[in-house]
Amino acid sequence: MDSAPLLNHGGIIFLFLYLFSLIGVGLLGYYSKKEDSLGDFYLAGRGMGGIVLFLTLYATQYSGNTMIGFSGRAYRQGFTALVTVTFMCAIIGLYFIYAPKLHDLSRKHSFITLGDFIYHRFKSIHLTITISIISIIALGNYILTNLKAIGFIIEGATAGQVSFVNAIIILSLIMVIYETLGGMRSVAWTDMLQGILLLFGVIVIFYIIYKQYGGLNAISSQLQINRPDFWTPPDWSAKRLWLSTILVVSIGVSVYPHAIQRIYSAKDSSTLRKSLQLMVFMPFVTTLFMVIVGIVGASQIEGLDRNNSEQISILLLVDLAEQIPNISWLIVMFLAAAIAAIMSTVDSALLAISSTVTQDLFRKIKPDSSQKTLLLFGKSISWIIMLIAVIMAINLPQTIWQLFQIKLELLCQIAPAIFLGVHIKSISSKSILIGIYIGTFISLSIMIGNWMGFPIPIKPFGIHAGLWGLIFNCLAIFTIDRNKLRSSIKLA
Amino acid sequence: MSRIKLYGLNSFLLLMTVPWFFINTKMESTGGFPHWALYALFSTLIYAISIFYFLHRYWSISASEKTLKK
Repeated sequence: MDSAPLLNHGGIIFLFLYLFSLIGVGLLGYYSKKEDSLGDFYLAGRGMGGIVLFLTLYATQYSGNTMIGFSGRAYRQGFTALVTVTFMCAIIGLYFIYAPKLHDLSRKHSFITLGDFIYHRFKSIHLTITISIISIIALGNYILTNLKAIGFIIEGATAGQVSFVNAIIILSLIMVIYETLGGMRSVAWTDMLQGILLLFGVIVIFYIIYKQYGGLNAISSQLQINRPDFWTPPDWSAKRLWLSTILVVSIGVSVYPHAIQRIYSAKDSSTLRKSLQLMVFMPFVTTLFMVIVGIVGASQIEGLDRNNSEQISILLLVDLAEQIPNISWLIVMFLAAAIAAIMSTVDSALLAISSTVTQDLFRKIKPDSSQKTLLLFGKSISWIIMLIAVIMAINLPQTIWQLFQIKLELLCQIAPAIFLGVHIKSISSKSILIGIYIGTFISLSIMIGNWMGFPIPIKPFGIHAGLWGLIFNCLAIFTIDRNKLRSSIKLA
Repeated sequence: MSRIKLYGLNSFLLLMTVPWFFINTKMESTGGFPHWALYALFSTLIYAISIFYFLHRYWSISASEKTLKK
């Protein structure tokens, strides 16, 4: 990236005004609380309406990866990056399987966390704690990687005027303040702002880049010369990898504990249904647009390595701003949208961890605690988690950084507990627990074995480690519960 | 429609979004997309429309308290 700052003083001021306005939204959330209870704090009183629910789902599911990672992937891999559009749609297809029933159950039994459903369904403390710990690790990794990304973005955009460390500290502080002020209400309302900024940013950036460079049709002849490999359809192993990518991402993302809390927060099932109906088309105006931006970039700027290709959108915008100075505001918009996308994901993950520790771990040890004590404990946990995340994001050595990128592989292993648990009454806690242990062990063995230099491919036979784990996880469940399953299907 | 058929159809449509049937490289394109990429995009659109319809029409089946039907 160029060493001159992408953001001028005006841009930096705009960005900081936007960021500090989020604390104002947090205060609004604080003054709108109805009572001091976990349900009110973590689920916004279970009264989330259609627009808020849709925008908070949207902002949570589309992270910084949408703005940066997807276009970078398209720059490197061409049209095979379209798999990102499919897996974002598939997440909603998976919600269709479990969300309708889970929402009804959550209203009936006042669930607050994923652990509440697991305990209600399986009556096993051991399983509930196992799933809670896996969720906390996966969400913690999510917070860490996103904090690191936000530090690099701001340091790069301001050419070091705001350092990596300061950027992480300032943004974390803003997030934890508005989160502990109003809980889910503040997070959902800030998500609304962030969701609008993200959607508007993606559409405007796509439109201007598409218009200025002439669109895919105009650049396709140039692309056929520069990157003829983009025209090659995936071979059989790449097709297997394509399907594996769809499955591992959609299954992992569909069981995000913070997304499940949004299912609980919906005012009623009709609101949830309409939000999901809208969400299924969002990949076509978000993911697809960023993929096309990456492909346009490949026709205009050649020879970027992996790290630089992640900056393809910003490089195109800088290139355009040099030709047309009037549109330099677009760079501010892009950065604001990318930061908004990251923040909306981090704050939701932080809230989910705080509620999981409070409701699924602390409350199991101290069941007689008052709602006020639980709330105070939950808010303190948010600060402690954020403090640990900030220290780790700043100081973690690069050599063990890979370990913290394991997220979806872990989350995939808890999926059977939700998908099967919701629909099949005869599935036992024992089989689910053994399945989770086997699946997690296999996934981690493949990934860590590969990193340690053992002769294990990271994706054996073109299939992700998390999916191998899930296959053996499900095999274990069906083997242990085969007799019960057979009789339940016969009975039905 | 039973729940198993519904989820089976959901999975089948998702499986069909992979461009399984395109093997040879052709430098032809429509709207700037190679034909296999266009297939992937349109099949994903069909999948999304189907999920939209399932959510609208079969929400109550998916929410039903009854256990899985064969």
